[in-house]
Amino acid sequence: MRRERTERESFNENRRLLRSYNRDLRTNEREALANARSTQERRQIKQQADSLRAEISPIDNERTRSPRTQTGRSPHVKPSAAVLRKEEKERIAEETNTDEVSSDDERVEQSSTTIDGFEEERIDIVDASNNPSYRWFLTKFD
Amino acid sequence: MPILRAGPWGNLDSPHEDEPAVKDDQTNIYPVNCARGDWPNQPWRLLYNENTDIGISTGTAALGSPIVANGNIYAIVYLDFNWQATEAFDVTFQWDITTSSPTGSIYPSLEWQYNTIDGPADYYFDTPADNGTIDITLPASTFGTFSAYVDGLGVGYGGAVQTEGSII
Repeated sequence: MRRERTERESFNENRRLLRSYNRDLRTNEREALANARSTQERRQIKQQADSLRAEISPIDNERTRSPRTQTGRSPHVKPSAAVLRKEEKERIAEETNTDEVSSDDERVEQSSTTIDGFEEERIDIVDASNNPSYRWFLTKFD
Repeated sequence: MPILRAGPWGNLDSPHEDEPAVKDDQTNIYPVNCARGDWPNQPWRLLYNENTDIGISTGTAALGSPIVANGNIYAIVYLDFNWQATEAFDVTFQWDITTSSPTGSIYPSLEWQYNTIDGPADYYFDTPADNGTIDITLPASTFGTFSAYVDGLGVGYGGAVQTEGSII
């Protein structure tokens, strides 16, 4: 006789699915950002990705509306969906006594955080080894 | 230390020019390359001018692509490009002049020179053999400009002259 899934098992299964979906989304977002040729294009990609993240994670939606985001953080820094998701994972990790915040998530947090009044610009350079390359610069706009 | 990209076209006086619709050395601006490499949105290229007693043709060409000018009396190939580099790099100037006239009835000459926004420059002129190659080391520079030509001048036996030149 088939055993009923416990609440914990369902919770873990959903979390695995959510993590898998987020990972795919992050991968696609990264590739799209790497191929983007303008700041405008990057912004659109980020908006689309954030929108998708918000759709697949109702927790993020709640957090976005939560007054908690106004505490302990610089008012100049917008909390991205990735940051909020990380907070949620930290909370889950605390509840389940696991340590699941990966360095990959840290990188996503850094790359997804923008500062009000600034925009990211891709600038082509010749790198120190004579190769064509590029760097991302944070530039102020009016 | 990396350097910021200039171009995509330009010259020593104005290193940041848009790519012109018409590729002609009369505009006095040339493609800006990253040493021997391709930019993500712009392959390595030079501006050429096939100049003969019959006519003039200009355009852009890739590294290693031979430019051929055909004339009745003379045929000259001009090659121009700009570069940016954080380390010195080598290019090879290749030429080959042929004619349907008897051997020794053409007078080849060639010249190359480079100048950089940082100061270093070099110049070379020769009346070389009908064909050959010269290796040239271009220095590291935030902006350098290179120009060369190879000239095949016939002596008027009525035969055609063909001059081929390329940067490899």
